[in-house]
Amino acid sequence: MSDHKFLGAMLSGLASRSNATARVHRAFRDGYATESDFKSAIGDDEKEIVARQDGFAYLSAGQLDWLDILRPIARSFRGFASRRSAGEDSVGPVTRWFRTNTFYRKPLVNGRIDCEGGELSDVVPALGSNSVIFLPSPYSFSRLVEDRFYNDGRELAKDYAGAIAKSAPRLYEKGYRCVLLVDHTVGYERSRGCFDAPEWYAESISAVKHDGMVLGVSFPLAEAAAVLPLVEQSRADFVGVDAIFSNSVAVETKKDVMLGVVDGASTGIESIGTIGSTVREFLSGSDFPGRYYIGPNDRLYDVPFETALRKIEGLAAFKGAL
Amino acid sequence: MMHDLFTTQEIGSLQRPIWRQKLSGPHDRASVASALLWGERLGVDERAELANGMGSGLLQKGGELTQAEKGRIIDISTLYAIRMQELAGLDRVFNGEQPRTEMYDFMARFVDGIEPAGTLNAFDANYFRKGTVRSGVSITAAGKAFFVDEFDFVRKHTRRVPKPCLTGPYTMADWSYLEYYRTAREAGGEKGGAAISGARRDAVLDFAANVLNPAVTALAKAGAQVIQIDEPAAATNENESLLFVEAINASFKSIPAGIEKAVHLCYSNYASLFPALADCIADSYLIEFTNHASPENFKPEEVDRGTFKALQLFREYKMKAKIGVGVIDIHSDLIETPQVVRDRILYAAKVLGDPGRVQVNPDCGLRTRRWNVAFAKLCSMAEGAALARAEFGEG
Repeated sequence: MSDHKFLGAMLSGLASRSNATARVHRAFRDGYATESDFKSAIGDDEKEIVARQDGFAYLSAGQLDWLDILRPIARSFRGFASRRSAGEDSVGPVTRWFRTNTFYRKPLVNGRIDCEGGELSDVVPALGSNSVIFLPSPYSFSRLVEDRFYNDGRELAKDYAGAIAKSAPRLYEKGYRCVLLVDHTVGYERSRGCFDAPEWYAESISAVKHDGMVLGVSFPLAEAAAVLPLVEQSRADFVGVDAIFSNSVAVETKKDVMLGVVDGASTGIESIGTIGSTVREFLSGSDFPGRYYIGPNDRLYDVPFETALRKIEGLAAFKGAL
Repeated sequence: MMHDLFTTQEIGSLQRPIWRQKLSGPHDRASVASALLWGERLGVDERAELANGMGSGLLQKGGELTQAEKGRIIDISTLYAIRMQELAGLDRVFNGEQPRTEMYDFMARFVDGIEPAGTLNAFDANYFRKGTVRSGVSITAAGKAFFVDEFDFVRKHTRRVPKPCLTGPYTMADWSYLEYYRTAREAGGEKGGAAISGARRDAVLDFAANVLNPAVTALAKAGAQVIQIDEPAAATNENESLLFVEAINASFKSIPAGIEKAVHLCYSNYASLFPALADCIADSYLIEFTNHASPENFKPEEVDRGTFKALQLFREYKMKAKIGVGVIDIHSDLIETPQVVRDRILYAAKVLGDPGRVQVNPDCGLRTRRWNVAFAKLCSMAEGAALARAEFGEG
């Protein structure tokens, strides 16, 4: 166990907003508050989130103003249809986000996906020189959109990955050093018995890799040992392991690992003892080179803001001492 | 006149007017003007209690209002909601959920065993509250009384059919943190995904037996002719469709035939509920149908494939239930024309193979829309239903 190096903590997806921000957001929708009021409330929440990430490997403000993880991409990249109305519904229909009571707007792809390169850096905050951005993995993205152009997941994923790679230099300039590709789709489809592993999975991950930036892929709500082989041959630097959902955290990988030890779907606050115990079980049972991060097993979007803050504090308190 | 063919109804919620949201005074000019304008437009005489030339209206008072005064404002906003639906021409009406906070929170307040946890984003500017289950759940006496009082109030103030609605057991469990049930499962030796799914089953069935069934039974005894259970979470986990049906059946257990047992579903892959749904005892399913479509022209190919398939499955499984087809997009300010509404109704009737099984409603509650938009949409919906009836020779 002594060979294992702790690299720090990090978040693993979008975070929730405070009650106050929810009120302002609703008031903004109903015409009783301004967009500036909403942005100001978001800014306050972001400060709270960032302030609790003392010692984190990579910082994130939770991408709080992203209405869902696909929306800014569908709104700013080329290749997406825009519905006639101008409001929030302009991207696409309300669609359930896997097995949650949250929804996203399903983008409609009607052309070749591409971008200028600065679109993503315009919609993430400057947090210093060590930040992380969360994006859908190319496979997940190809499954979450409605494709009326490619009719081929591989080509769609390839162009999406290319556009992300094209965005990387501007993200780097803004202080982003890590891209975490999040893939809920694999675990979901596996649980339904309908996951047919595409041969291009690793290739699509590798296409995102940008020199100077660390690339990770996480698989929330998936049995870790079963899904990590998907990215073993890719250029990903680390893989996310959902230690809450997995029945066993014993894995075999040559990548670094981000261990999801904090439950993104429970209001219980994990103690340092609980986190340490999960980490110990993982380190003693797994076969991997020995560098690891810790984080939530999933986005902290499905727990209230105050709970998310306490969970982040718990992660920050764990300094790798076992 | 109540229409048997293409019966029209709202799903539940309407936005709370600004003067209903702020239960302290005095209100500004815009708020007072809005109350008076809509009161006049809807023909609600009680608007004079809100604001009048003497400056003695409830909205004109300064400082903190008494509980009785706050209650009166809520009653009057309920009258506005009832009148709006009546004026639009709906066959079935309710209170626009004006006395409620939102669909999870108001139920949770009447359930022993739930502690408030916080607010979460559902999508866009729509948020919902969640609670943490700390002990086995059961409805409170105040809860049963609340639902009956709500129903009595609407019945007293409308000549249309009042349709009370309640948040369903599956949704209540799905939107709660099930710490009590999960801990119990883990104490029994289960862990990981097995403990999580076991806890969900325990919680869903407890909500059905100990919360929903007592509330539904009380409404039936009070004289409700139709009772709607709202289950937006129904198809959240396709592996739990049997559990969902078991829970709905337990919620409606012992409700006499003749009372319409309605279930509202939305924003889900309804097809995933089959074949389990074929064993559900509900008499009608009110489903979202329009979300995926454009508002200006009806195109059959824009009907979501899952929704289309579900309609086919209702027919294929020879289910006798009626289908409330969502013909109004509640997430857009664009107003569907009556002709588009008509075409959606006729298309659903064609797929189901029986126009007599089609009811008409918006996709979901219109709480997301301002009143002028909601009213226009409901008017268009009722006009569209009339056009569809005319196709079958009914006025």
